[in-house]
Amino acid sequence: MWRHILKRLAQAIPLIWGILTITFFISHMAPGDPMDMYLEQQRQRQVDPEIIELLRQKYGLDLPIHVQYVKWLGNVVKGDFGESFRYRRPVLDLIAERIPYTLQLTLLALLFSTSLGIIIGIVSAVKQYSALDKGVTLGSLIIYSIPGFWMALMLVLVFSVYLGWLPTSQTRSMDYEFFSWGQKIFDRLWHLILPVFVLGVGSAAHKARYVRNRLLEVMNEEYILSARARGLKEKMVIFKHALRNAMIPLVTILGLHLPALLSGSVLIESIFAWPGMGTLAVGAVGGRDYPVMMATLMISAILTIVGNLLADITYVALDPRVSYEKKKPV
Amino acid sequence: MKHKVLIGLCVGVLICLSSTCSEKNDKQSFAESKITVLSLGDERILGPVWDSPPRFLVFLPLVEYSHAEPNPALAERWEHSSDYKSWTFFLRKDVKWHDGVPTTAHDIKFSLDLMDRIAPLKQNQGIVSYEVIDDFTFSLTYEKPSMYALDYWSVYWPKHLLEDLDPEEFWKWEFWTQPVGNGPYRYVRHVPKTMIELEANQDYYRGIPKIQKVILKFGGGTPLTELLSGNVDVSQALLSDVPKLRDDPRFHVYYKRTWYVGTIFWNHRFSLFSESSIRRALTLAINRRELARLLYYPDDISLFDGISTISQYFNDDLPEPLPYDPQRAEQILEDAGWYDRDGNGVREKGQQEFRFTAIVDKSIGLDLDKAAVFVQDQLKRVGIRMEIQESQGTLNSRFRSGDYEAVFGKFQNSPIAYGGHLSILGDNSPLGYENSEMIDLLKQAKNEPDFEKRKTIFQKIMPMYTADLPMTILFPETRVLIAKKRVRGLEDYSDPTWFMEYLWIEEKE
Repeated sequence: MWRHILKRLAQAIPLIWGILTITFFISHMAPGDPMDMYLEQQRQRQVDPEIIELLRQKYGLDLPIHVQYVKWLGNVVKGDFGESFRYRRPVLDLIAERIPYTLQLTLLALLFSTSLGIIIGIVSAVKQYSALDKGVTLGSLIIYSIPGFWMALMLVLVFSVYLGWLPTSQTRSMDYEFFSWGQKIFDRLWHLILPVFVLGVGSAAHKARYVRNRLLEVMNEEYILSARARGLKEKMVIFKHALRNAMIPLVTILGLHLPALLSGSVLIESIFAWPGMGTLAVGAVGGRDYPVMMATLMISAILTIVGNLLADITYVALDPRVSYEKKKPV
Repeated sequence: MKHKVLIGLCVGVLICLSSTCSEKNDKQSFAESKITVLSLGDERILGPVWDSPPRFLVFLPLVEYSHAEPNPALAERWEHSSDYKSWTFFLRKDVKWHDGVPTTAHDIKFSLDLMDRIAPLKQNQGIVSYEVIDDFTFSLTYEKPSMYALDYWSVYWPKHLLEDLDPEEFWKWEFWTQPVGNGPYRYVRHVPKTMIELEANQDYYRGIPKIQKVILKFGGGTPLTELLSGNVDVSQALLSDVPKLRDDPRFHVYYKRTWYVGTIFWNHRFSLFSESSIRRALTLAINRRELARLLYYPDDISLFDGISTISQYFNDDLPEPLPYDPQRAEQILEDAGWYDRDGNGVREKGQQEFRFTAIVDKSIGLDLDKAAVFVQDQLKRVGIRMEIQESQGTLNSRFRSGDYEAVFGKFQNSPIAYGGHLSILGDNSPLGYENSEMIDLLKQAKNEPDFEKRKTIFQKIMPMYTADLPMTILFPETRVLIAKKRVRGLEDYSDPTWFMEYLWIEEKE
């Protein structure tokens, strides 16, 4: 198993390198110049062309693209992602500041979507063809079809603007520092409700359909019939025997959902003014802030690969038939 | 038992949530002289990273331009040599940093030295030297006659708090998140990525500002939801948001004309646009009043064809625009030999069809992409095909090098520099425009510090501009400010954070 993990990690290195190399050249060859954005930022000032040239030299933008690439890659290997053109701070500082917000959002959304998807999937499978099942099927289809940004705006309108129950945006209240620790926790959760719901609910609908179908397949297996014949309670049959086997394929799609959640969080973070990697990446792309762009992309690539690896590992843990060890010849 | 635990937990959650909410409501209810403004940025907004108007809440510039004329701020008065190369500023003696230390000329020199050292803050002002004459007087010498000395944009920092810090770490200084300034408001606290709280400076030289507390709330999905949910009192909004709030009795909508002008730049090197008569026909073919209406501009927006001094611009002392007259446009095109002989809807002259590509910079926030679609339709009606190519903040270099046919962009009517006009129409004009007489006059205007004399120069430029029509001015950029009706004083000021000290809150809405 460990050998398999190490092998996968080793394979990830050239993969990440490939992704970053392609993105580096595409982004640098695309039309546009970070200095244009700088001039737009400084539109109230009369910026000396010499200053622009100095900045170009400072950030290495005056060098041929292949030289920029080698220099950048060398720095990345040493753990130096450079300095943001926009924020004038080390990229790693910016990422360290923002990644907890994105992880908080995406992991909670993953937890929420998985729990909700499993519960709805089970209910739907157990009550197959009932009004509840049909309602859940239709509801899942509708929710899955609604664009996340539209749902976010509608929910803000209803729950924040009209009802005033939930905050419109941000991660905490303005008087946060005066709250007791208990209030602080609930304040953070209160601010998480809408973004986590919007980020997770579409994926929950997808998982619910998956769990339902898989559970119905498993329920027709002979070992389930056998369990029932042995007189086991239906709850025991479903949760102990059927669900465990039905869940195995779900684990694989969890790993695949992680990158989808990360990309979805870009939009949700913008709508809810969530200061995570998504808003940082959007700003970096718009401002041609290459160091930040490349670093956020690298983090996304790593998280995607790690998500897939975790799915593989969990798969082995859940299904004893699966093993990555070489079997000895009989 | 399990159920009881669950119910207990739920009750606990509800109590905590309600206490959080009620505390929030209690805080809102005392807000008699508190204002919450939706702001860009984060807790570094008061420092040089963002370089934006909120810093004027905390720091003072030398002068301010509240009505297109320079007024004293940190500088009580100023003198200049007859050739406008040497300037002497006399600082107010009653301005103190928020920690009680007086603001002196040494702080100005320290800040200028610092700006000179930190590349992105260095400015091309042609300063030869600057020196402290005494604690409250300093002088600047320029290589050419200059009005740059009346700098409304730079602010100055306290030497006594910053001189021992490492300039190499300039952008990381904690000072930028907890600044000690000399302006009308002083920093109180911030919640990272959420807000900054400021309170009225009790020692402010103009007297204590009427609004006691200012909260800058960051981010926000849309200004509309922040306003409607009551989270903020004032916010900039999109022009398209106006119809949704115009009839809401809680709010007042303010239209603020900026220094920027939305424009179609024709490349004169491109054969289609080399003749002024053709540029005139193109301008006549566009219904600019209708365009402004479609973009939700106010009905009484001033449209014009001309360039001007800033006071002429803000006082609507500008020549009337060419009217919308598509028949006249078609006549001009036919007189120039452009006919649709093959009936395909596009005019041609010899082998050349009247087709071109216009690049639109979507990132500059003037709804120019929408304007381009409208103009495309208008030109189609007179037999001209315009293709639209979108660009995201990447146009400047291409525009400067003349590598385009037409561009939807903007130029700046800066109050002191007039660099906007000259950079578009002067030497090496990105339009390829060549009118030596106009260029000379623009240079004269740029270097003329006297406001009245400058106005006279622009009066000479106006007819020249009208004859040449080097570009088609679409509309002056207009921003929308939406505020609760109890916030007063916004009629005269473009940005609430820039001019907060002049605002007040009416007790009853």
